[in-house]
Amino acid sequence: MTIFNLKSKLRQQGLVGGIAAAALMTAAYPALADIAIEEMTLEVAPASDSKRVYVTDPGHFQMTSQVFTIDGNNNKILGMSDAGKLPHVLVGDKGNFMAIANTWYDRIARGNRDDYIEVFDTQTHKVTADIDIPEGRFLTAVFTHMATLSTDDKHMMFQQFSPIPAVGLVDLEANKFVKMMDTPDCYHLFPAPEQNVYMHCRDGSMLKINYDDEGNATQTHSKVFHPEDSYLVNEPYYSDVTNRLAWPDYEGRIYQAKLTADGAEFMDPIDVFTKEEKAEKWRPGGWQLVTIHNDSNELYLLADKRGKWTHKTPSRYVFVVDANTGERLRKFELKHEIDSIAVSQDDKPYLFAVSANEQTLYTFDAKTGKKIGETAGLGRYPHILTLPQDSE
Amino acid sequence: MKKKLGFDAAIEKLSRRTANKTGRRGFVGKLGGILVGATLLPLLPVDRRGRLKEAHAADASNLDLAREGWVPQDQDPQSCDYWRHCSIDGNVCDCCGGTLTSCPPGTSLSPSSWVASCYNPGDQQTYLIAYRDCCGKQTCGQCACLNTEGELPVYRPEFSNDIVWCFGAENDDMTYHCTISPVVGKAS
Repeated sequence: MTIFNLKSKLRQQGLVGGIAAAALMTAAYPALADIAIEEMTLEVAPASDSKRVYVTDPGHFQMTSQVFTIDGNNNKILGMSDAGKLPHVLVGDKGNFMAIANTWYDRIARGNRDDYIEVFDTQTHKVTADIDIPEGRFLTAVFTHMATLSTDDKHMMFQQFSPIPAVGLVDLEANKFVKMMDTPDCYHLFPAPEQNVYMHCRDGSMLKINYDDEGNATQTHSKVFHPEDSYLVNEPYYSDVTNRLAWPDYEGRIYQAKLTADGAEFMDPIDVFTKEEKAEKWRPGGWQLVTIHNDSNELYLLADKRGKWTHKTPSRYVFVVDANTGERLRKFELKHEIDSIAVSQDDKPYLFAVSANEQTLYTFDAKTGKKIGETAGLGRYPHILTLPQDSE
Repeated sequence: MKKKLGFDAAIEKLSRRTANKTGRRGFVGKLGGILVGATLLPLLPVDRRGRLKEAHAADASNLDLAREGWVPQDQDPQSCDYWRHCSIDGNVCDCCGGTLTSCPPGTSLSPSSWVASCYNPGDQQTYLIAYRDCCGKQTCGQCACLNTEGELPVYRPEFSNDIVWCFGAENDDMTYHCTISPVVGKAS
């Protein structure tokens, strides 16, 4: 810094100091006018319920992400959590904690990479654990099922793609990374009871991995359950309470399975669209485009009239069918370009729908389709919804 | 003399300091420059292709068009519907300081790629495009496109555009900046 620059800087600092003093005095005037000084506190969010919604905004592959905590009962923002590049947000213990899998670089977009898991208390939003993991998270546009909690919340798992396919096991009770478990060419993670986790493999089968606390694993393949040319979307619905998997293909056929400790039990596929609707080019489209209300067994599919190969373009309609039979129950128009949907699991369910382009979360009555509320201004490109599956 | 309160003193000090550093002539001169510049700016030859793209992106009816399916053109490589971009998900490097086949300065070219077959309406041929990501910097943000013509799910990774394809990039920086769309062969 030259002498000239130094003088200039000192002058600027003097100016800033003057403005700060002026602002302070302005703020102090009301106190002089005999107004009671208000108490200042830190807010704590209410306990999570089934309508707690986490909206993740990873931007467009940006280095930092935001996770908004929203009370879906009234569309109020309760807080926000920071995350790194392409984070995975997991909610456990009836919504009492949230774990975020992060990737971070010490020179913003280059330098040393650091992958880690942060665990948050969902009321205080404070970090309760920080767990270092190997720098191997599979970085893709966020697919929610590429990391998971175990069904008993004891473990957390994340997928690695390179240098070799593997699943990382994290012990959330001991707050430590355990082991990378080698896997074949399989993707996604769906937890099942008794320390089992399933993956979907390139050949169309499901791989069951049974693991112990040290990360020693045995693997079993199921039968192939969908044809090679029936392309399954990247975001299926899976409940780690009912262990039911519902997986649409690009044309609206839903493949389903119950994933148990004993193996995968496949159901007959259902078609959401009638022959006439298929002729009219109704197809699913968006990001998280399927959700199930577990107790009523109602399946919601985000769809629109569209050409082939437009499976990620947002949709404006929701089709509701019986998840077992495919019988049509309802269809309603959302009147917004929606990327992702998720239904709450209580007995008066709300359907939450987020539009990335509008940066807005919309809330609908899941039974009537009537719009109830909205929360706008959710970052840059919010399109991931996470709701507690097991709230009371 | 009445003693000044701190607030008044601070404002007076600020005013005097501003007056000492700002000449009236200088102020009028600068204002004149701004006015003349503002008048002349629309007459200058500027590239408005970007504005056209922004208008499309912001227009809700654009999603109606997107849902109808892929209709490529061969005139504007910075537009999302340029034929080579048929399965691109991200930012076109040509808008970020690179070209259709080169990365912007300061980034690193990843050796890994995903592929797609894209139809060129200019010569009515279909070409194999091996999309390559340019890595090591924050997302460019310009010319963001999401095209999915022939794009397959992540369990077919070689055809999936959702993966950060920075494997093997310099310093192992798995950070996405933009994408180039080089032709690597004829698909038919």
